[in-house]
Amino acid sequence: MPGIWRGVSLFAIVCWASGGVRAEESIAEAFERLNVGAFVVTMPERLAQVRIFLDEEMLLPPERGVIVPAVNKAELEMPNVLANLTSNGTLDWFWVYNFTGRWYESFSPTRGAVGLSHLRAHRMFLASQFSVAFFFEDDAALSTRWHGTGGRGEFVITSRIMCHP
Amino acid sequence: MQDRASQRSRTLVRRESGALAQKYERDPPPRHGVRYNALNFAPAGWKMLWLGYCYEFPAVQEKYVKGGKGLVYLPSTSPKCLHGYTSTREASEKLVRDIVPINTAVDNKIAIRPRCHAAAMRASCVARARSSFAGAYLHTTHSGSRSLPFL
Repeated sequence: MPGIWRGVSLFAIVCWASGGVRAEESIAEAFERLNVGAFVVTMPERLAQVRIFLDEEMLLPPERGVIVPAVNKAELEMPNVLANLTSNGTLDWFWVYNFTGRWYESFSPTRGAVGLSHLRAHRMFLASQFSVAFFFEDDAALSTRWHGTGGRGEFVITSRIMCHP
Repeated sequence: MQDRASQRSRTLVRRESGALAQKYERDPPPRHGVRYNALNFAPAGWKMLWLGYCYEFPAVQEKYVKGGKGLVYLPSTSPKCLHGYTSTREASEKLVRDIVPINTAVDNKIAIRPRCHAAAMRASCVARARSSFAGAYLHTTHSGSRSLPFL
């Protein structure tokens, strides 16, 4: 039962592709029918929790939940890594070494790592057989209710499982 | 030590999952709520859908595409944050081609692409959805970048 409920929330995301919904479907069945993959960009230390979330909360078959190992900012702080990434054209040299624009667009290892992580996620999607990808980061929480007061207390329990295990 | 922490976390997850299951067994969620209705009023031909975002330029927020039953879909030119979005294969191919080399924060790079709104993708390149009473579908728990409910 809980799988279907969370499925309803996710239906809203994935079933737009088909233009219709079958309320009796579970999320696993919907993913199967629409050929959707869930790609979770996650840090290694949260991997176990994300796996449990995909398997036991979303009730997805393992092949439909894809873990995308996020690039750690520490990797970009290692010697030569940035040099390699700029020389092979993944990161822009001027952005990394010579950016003079607005501060919130400037390079930082974190921003670089986020970009590379999502790039990796999209490449993994393209290398897969899925037709549609649902990307989310490991701090995203599926919401099933209005949170107009902005209080964390109104997040559904799944958010705490995902984010604060 | 790590095993014990992992075990504890698994136990917690299972316990909380169980509590949620019991809650919904007692009080099953409605089948025809806002999320159900959302599916029947979706814009056709979308390429990417933003479901969790932090900010959008206000002027863009008024461009109403299609809605019903309390749901509104908006063409989006500059959604910030990447904590929840869907993408078709076609959009991802284009995105991977366009964002490399990465030369700014990647959500800006995706959002502020004039090409995004050119022929192939048009307004359906990026769409986002909200409900007038159910809020955004995805939130982030970063304290500084929570989804804004009325965007």
